[in-house]
Amino acid sequence: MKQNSFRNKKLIVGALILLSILIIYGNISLGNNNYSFDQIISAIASNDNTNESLIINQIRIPRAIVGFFVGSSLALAGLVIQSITQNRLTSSQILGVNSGVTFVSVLALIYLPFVGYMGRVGFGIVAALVVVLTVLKLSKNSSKISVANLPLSGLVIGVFLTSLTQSILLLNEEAAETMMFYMIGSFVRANWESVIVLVPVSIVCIIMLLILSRNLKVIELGNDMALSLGVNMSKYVFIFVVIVSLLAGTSVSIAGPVGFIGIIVPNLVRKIVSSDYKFLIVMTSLVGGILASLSDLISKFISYPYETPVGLVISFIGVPMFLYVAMSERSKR
Amino acid sequence: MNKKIISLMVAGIVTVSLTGCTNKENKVESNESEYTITHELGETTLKEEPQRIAALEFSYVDALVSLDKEVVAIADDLDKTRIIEEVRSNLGEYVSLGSRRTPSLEALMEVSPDLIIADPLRHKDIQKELEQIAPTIYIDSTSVGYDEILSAFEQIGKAVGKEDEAKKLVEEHQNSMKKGSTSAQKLGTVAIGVVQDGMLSLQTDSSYVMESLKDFDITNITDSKDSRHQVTLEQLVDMNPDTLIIMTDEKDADFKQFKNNPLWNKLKAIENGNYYEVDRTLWLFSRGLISTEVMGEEFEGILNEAK
Repeated sequence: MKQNSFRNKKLIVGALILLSILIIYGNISLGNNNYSFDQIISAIASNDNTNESLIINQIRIPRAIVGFFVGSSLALAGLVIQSITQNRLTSSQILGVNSGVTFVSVLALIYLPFVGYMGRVGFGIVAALVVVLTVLKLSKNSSKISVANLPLSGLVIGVFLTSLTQSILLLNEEAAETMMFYMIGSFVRANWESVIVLVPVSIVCIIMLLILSRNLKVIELGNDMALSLGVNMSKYVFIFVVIVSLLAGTSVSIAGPVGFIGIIVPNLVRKIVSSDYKFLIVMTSLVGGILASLSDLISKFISYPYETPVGLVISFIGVPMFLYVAMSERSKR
Repeated sequence: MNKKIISLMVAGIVTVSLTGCTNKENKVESNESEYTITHELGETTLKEEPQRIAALEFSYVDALVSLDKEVVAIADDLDKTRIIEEVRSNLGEYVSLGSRRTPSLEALMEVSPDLIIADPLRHKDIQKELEQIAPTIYIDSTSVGYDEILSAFEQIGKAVGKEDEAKKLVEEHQNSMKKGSTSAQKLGTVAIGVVQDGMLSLQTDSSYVMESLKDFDITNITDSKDSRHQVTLEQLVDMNPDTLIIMTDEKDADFKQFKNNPLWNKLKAIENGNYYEVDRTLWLFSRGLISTEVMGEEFEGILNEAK
């Protein structure tokens, strides 16, 4: 399977795209009321003021899109971070990005209610960049970024920011209730504003990663290999880290720190794909989107009619998968 | 699901503690000036009627103000406005003890109170430390309904040596809540809720708000048996209540986003103008005699205003 021919790859990607469309359709169609294919099409076409059209156009479609792209972005962020730290068991959480974005979102929601939704997402992206730049600064060994120091500095910053979030919530217990789903990860707040930010950012990042896929591969091979191939590692690490912060910054500010996707999906995909990084990137983004969308679909029905935070469902699916990946890594050695 | 599990656990703890209460029955042994109060975490002996009281939860402040007792320290989450104006204006100067969950023991020690009122769920872990500072009684205030708040009021009355007055005040309060002779039936189906986590958390018949307004005979849109019923905007549109009361304030960013959706304007209550915003600190978090009476008056106002 690892020596995928070009035809096989096209088949796999095609099948995954089909599956993605099917699950996104399921998310639009199923819920409190179920809508048929015809109802959905006529709602999109007419875009009128009936309840049905508004529910489909203003709630179901944006939520389905956001779910898919959050999963896709977090999975890609995980893949990149695993490559640049050369550690398969890390994700954007390790760089402190998720904690930073969560802190800023909680801060804005409680103390700066006037900034609005878009403002909070904007803050999230800025926070992700600030965290990443701080972590990079802290992990610099003389003039080079030390790959070994990177996760360590990220962890320290992450713990610090998490404690700041907790102190805000401690003094605002009632507000903590309103952040409960967000803190676990949820797509309930998704709307067209989130789509407008998330989708372009994700697509631009995927394209950039596809263009830079060779460099990502070289960086993952390590410092010596990169030097012998003449790749300026620090420069590319910086670019990749900015990509990670864009992907994770938007996703986390929109849906909360949805866990596990960033760590499981790249590992799962690597079981099928080994050396072709372009294929790896496309597959990771599709599988991440599918996992998040499927979890969102399940989350609507777990304790119907109540919503369940999607982060919880992903954790339930994610923990056994993660253990499987970790165990099989160990048995390889 | 998470919230359901938590509320089930809390309900379990409350049931156990309430059973404990009925078995023991609160008793006051008047041994000259010394008397013993039995509360949720045991018994506490008070040498004399307390004059300097520390309150570690908002509802106790409401009770102490009603009973005209001096409150010297309050765990107010570092925000005086969390205490409603009607209570705050009758409060003297007090020392803030910081967060309700982890009140500052040092600050508490400095004000040297002669009685501390604490919550059994929140402050069980610091029971020893609190008792070293002053006699402490534990009264559940965070996870209980309307009737429990009334009996808690009487219990506080006993502790501060105003047992008869407390009973009388509770009676007066109950009468004032009955004064709503206008039935809420004219409102049609009613949804009272607060936006949390991007969803509307509806107050069910077993919630504090609905229990305290039960004499108004409200037709609640939800018949859920839980204390609250969380619905998405989509579900709310399906339920489509005749009257909608949202507990909110100007800092409520979550609600602003919730009503930003075009579907919000399609709700029957919005289209017909049967929509009201009320203060969430007063309606949702205060849980005292004074605040509940103000809430009752506001609800009557809504009834009079409704078409």
